[in-house]
Formats: sequence, structure tokens, C-alpha cells
Amino acid sequence: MNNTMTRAATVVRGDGLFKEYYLGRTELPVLKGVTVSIRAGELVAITGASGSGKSTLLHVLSGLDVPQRGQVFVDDAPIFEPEGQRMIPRPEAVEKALNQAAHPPRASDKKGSGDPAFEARRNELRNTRFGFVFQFYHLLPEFDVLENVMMPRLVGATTSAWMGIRAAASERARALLERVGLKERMRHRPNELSGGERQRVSIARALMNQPTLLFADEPTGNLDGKTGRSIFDLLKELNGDGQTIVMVTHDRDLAAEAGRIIHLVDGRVESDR
Amino acid sequence: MASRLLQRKRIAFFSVGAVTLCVAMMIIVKSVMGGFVDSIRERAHGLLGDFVVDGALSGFPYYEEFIVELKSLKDERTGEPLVAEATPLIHSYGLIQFPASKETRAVAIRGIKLDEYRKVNEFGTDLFYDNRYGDTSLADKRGRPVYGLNENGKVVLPGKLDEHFAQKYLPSLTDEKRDETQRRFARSEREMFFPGPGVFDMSSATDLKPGYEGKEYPGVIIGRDVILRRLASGEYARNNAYAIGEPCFITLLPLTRSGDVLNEPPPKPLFRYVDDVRTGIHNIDSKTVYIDFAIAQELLQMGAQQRVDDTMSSPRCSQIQIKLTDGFGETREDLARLKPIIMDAFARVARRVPADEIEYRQLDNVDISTWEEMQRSFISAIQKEEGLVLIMFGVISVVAIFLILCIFYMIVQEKTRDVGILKSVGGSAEGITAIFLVYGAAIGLVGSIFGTILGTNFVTHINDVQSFLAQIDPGLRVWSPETYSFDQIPSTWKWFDVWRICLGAIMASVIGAAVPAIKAGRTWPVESLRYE
Repeated sequence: MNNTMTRAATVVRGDGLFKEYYLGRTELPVLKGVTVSIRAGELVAITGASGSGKSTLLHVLSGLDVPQRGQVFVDDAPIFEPEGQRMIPRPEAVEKALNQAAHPPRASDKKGSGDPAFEARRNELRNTRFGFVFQFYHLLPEFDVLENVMMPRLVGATTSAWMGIRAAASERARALLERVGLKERMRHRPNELSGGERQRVSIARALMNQPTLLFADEPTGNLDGKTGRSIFDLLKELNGDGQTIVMVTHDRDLAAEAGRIIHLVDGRVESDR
Repeated sequence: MASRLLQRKRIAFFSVGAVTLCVAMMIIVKSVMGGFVDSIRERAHGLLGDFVVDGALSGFPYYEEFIVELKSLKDERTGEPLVAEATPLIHSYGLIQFPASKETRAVAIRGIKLDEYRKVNEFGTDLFYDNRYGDTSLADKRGRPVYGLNENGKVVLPGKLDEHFAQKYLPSLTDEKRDETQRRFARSEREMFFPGPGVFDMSSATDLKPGYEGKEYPGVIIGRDVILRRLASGEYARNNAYAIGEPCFITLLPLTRSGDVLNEPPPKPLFRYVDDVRTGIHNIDSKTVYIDFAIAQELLQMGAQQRVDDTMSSPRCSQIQIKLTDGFGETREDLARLKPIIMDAFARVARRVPADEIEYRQLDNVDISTWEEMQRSFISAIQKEEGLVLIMFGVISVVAIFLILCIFYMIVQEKTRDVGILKSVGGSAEGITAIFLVYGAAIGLVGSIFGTILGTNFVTHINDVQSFLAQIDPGLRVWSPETYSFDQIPSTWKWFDVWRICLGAIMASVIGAAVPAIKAGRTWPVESLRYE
């Protein structure tokens, strides 16, 4: 298995990632120079104690959040603008002062989403290449199950193209719901479903655009043991079909079943095996 | 997607409600204020004709020559005569005194040629007796109209007064009003009292003949507010007022050609009250009486006078009002174009006439103005009021924008997680922003539609609303016809204004939604998803 993984192409690579949060004037470093690569077909579990930076690492790798320093590469192309780049140039003196700081902040960290070209790339990646499963499911309560699953396809299309793609999207969503065992619940609203069912819907949604990489942030964290197990089994089944999955979890039993475990301690990779 | 994502937000209904009320309020205020300003402008125009040639109180000479010159003016392009009518006026001040009651009032006196004056402006439209009975004249000397009996024993007025009432006045009324008027004015045989002009001659009750009785005097038309009290309903109390034909003294103040007061006692001739008029502007109606031009000219010594070299000076007038032919002077620009033509005509006459030194000075004092320039201070006061209202509109609009902005901030706050979800599945900043902007525009549109329905209906029925409120408590009557020139609150609205207000409301809604929408679009997905 290890040999296979070595040969497989790198899907996403995080290089020297630093991330700090600011609580008022207090800086709270979360990632302190993390470098990881995810290869095609892997089921990677990111583990660590609370506050060790595992969710932050997943968010940064998937382009949901921005690191102050370091870069994430997808297909060897960066997804964040270079550090210090700003759309509106700062006065020279200010720029100089900031560059001398210990961690010169990336422009997009503080002001909006940064360079539009990079943002467009991240949007496209999140829409077509990445799928997301969250601890709290994050389904849209105003839409029914089928519409929630179709959402990535609809969001990725222009309004005028909606009618044209709707039928195909609906067909794919129905197939996915059948696969996750929710064929009978597709016209229900999320608040009419149990936790496990909601998580299945969110997995179906994540698979809608046939992503290269599935990011799962504590997918079983909000479920009882039995339901959590069934969700993990589903993810494993998907991985068995070739789906690359990066999963954050602090359930050691589940993590042990993953092909690879990246263990973080205090914002640094302690082990990667 | 915008409607699905946000349709269940109850707070959005408050936004629609806020926009509805703002739009309705702006339509109501703009319609009433705009209607008020339009009415005032119409009245001002109706009072003065198109152009006014105005001299000092002592008047200016050679007006007849000037009027002839004016009437000969032709349009360069069409060859049509420019001036439809031009009439001279005399302005003076004096006292009016009713011997019966010893009531004396200071008044402005205007000498007018009634027939011409009616053609130049809208003076004739609210002459009370003339409209009903016709035959109002200033120059003709007449007695008091007295009722009599005709050969059939029916009570009749003298002359053609009854004929005018039946053949011209009654047909001009609406069916409902005509029935009511006919009932009120129905005369039974030998009835000795009914509401109408004139009195019965009680001294010869056995042989009643219609006619004019008493000494004959020239007529005077009196501003309605000088002699009649206006009721809160807007009508005038005629029951205890002076009867038509009542004699009154008018004391005039003649000036010399140089503008000095004459040393001799002022003339105090008798006139007969023949009619009362309402121009709609209280300041004029409560202070002005109208007598015949020729009589005024004679009494004020403004006729031709002998100079020291035995030649005769020209008769004088104080003002000339000019009415242009239909199709000319309908816009401010056209009036500005025609003004130099009128001024040139005046200058030509002034060069041509054999004026003496005093007359030259009088001609030099003449101003030629458009009706709007003449009433500039009056209209500009109202325009300032309009400006004030516009500022109020601005403040209201800003309040509305902030209200929508606050509501949208709350909606965006509430939808933060959904924004994060949409972004996590690839939603772009522009797409997220567009959702909230479309939603803002939709709120503006729906609010504008409801606001238009509410506002236009309220404006249309504003007088009914007021009557209803006044029935509950007379103190709730906000529009007092005694204070304002018009009996009713202006109740017309213009589509142009409504469109502008609706467009403004939609734009305000979009602007109000824009800041939170852009903020929502620019948020990093994780910011929205992190906190549960």
C-alpha cells in the first residue's frame, strides 16, 4: 500500500504554513510552520489535542482560510497570493515597517478575500475539486435534501444555465442519495432528519461534483458512537473506490483505521505515518 | 436562490413595511406640496397675464400708442399676431366706506377695463354675480336691482338677469348641483324673500315691477374677503353681508404728474357694489376693489392735462397686462425669447412720442416683466418651501437607507453561516453579494408597489380623510381654507413623481443592502463557518 502511495501524484501540498489568530491584541499562533502533502487515493486522518491546529490545517489546505505565511499548492500551482501582495499599494514606509515584522501578514488575511484571480481559483477548487463534510453538517435549512445535494452544481453554474443543468444535477443527486441510503428522504428539509442522516446528506453534497479530494472536519464529532461508525464506514467505502479523503478527528480508534495519520502537537507536525 | 434563501425571514417583511411607508409618505408629501406650488403658480399666472408693463404709482404716458404697437407685433416665423390682448390698469390706494354700516376700510384700488381685463387674465372666472346673473358692469351707472312680478305673477329680476341664470348658469352645473341650486332658488308666487341678488321694494307691494331703483352710480367689484366672512368649510357667509347694489363711498388719492399729493380734498364719489371677486390669493382678495378704468383715470387726474405751453400731455396708466396669443409664451424659455421683442416695441414707442421731460422720466421708470418675474418674491417664497421639503425628503431618504442597511445587517448576520456554506461549495463573492443585492432590490420593488398603492390612494382621498377626521373632532381639520388660498387640499399626483420616488426607493434599498452584501461576499468561508 505504501509503495502505491509513494507513486501516486500529490493532490495538495501545504508548504511552511503559519497561522495566527488575533484575540484583541493577543496573538495566538495555531500553525507554526506545517508542511504536508496529500497524495491521490489516501485516507489521511489529522489528529491532535484540542487547539493543536488540526481543523485550521484542514481549512488552510482547502482554501477555506488563509495562512499568514506559507503556501498551498494544488497541482503545483499556488492557491494564495504571494505574501505581502496587496491590491491597493500601501505607502512605502508602512510597507517597509510591515515587512520587518516577525510575520508580515498576507494581504488577504485582514482585508477581504484578497487577489480576485486567486480567489476565483479557490472558488473553482472548492466547487469542482474539493468536497466538504463538516461536524455540524452545514446544510441550508431553506432547501430540501435534494436541493442541498444539488447546490454545488447550481452554485457553479450561471443563473441562465440553471435550467439546462438542473435535470442532470437532479439525476446525479438522486443517485448519490440512493448510495448514502436516503432515497426516501430527498424531499425532506434538513431539520426533519436525524444527525446521522444529515451527515449522509452532507457527504452526498460533497460528492456532487466528483471531487478529487474530500475534506472532512470531525465528521463523526457530533454523532453517537454507532452512527459515527456508520459514517466512517461510508467514508472508508468511498476511499476504497479511490476517493482521496482528509479527515480531522480526535477519535483514536477511527484514526487508527486510516491509511495515514498526521499528528499535530502545538501547531507542528509531530508524526506523519 | 435569493428568494428561497431569504424568504422565511420575518424581518424582511419589516423592511418591506418600512419601504412601503417611506414611499407612501413621500408620494403624499410631494403630491400635496407639488400640487400647492402648482396651484399657486397657476393663480399667479392667472392674475397677471403673460407680461406686465409696470410703471410707478403716478403712472406712465402713451400707453395707448404702446398697446397699438403691441397689437401690431407679429411672430417672425409664422406671421401670427403675438399679442392677443393688452389692457391698461390704474393702481391706487384709498378707502371704501359703506354709509349703511359706517364701515370704512383701507383698500388698494384698481382701475380696469372689465371686458379686456377678463380676456387678459382669469379675473372673470370667480365673479360671483356675473357668473350667475351676468350683466356685471363697472362703467354703466345703475340703481339697485329690485325684484318685481311679471305678467304671470312670478317673481323676477330686472333685465336679463333671470335669463342668464336659467340659460347659462344652470346648464354649466353638474346634474346634482343643478338640482340643488334649482331647489334653493325656486320662487313661489309673491314670495318676498329668497337667496339671490337685489331686494323687494316693500313700499309699493301692490304693484311690483322689476327694475333698478335709487340713484345711479358706477359699479365697484369688491374683493370677496373685504366684505364677506369665510367659513371653516371654505364657503362664504352671504346671509348677513351687504346686498348687491349697496352704495359705498370710495375715497381716492390723486397724485400730480410729478408724483406729489394734490392739495385739494381727495374725491369721494359713490359707487354701487355690483359684484365680488375671488382670485384665490387672500392678500389680494382682502384688500382690493376694482372700478372702471376711465372713471379711475378721471378721479385720479391721470387723463390728458394741459401743459404750460398749452399742449396736452398724454393720459397715463399704472400698468399694462399683456396676454399672448395661444401657443406663445407657454414656457419660461419662450417668455424669455419674447421679452426683448416687447421691450423693443416699448422703446420704439418711447422714441417716437412727443414726450415732455416729466413723461420721459415716467417712461424711463417702466419695467417690463414676465408674470413669473413679477411674482418672483411670492413664488420664490414657495419655492424655498419646496426646497425645504426636498431637504426633508433627503433626510427621510437617508433614514430609509439606514433603516434598510440596519435590517440587512441583521439579515446578513443571521445568514452568516449560510454564506459560509455557499462559499464552501464554491460560491463566489460576486454571487453572494448579488444574492443580497437582488434581495434588497426585491424589497425595494415590493415596498414601492405597496407604497404607490397606499400613497396614491391616500392622496386621491385626502379630502375625504380630512372630512372624516373633522367629523370625529373639528380640531383635527388640518387644512384650513381660511388660511390657505384653496378650499381643498391638492389631491392630484403625477406618474413622473411616483416613478422617481419608486426608483429612489429601489436604489435606496439596493444601497442599504450593498454594504452588508459586499461584507458578506468578502468574508472568508471559515469566518462564517467556525462559530456554531
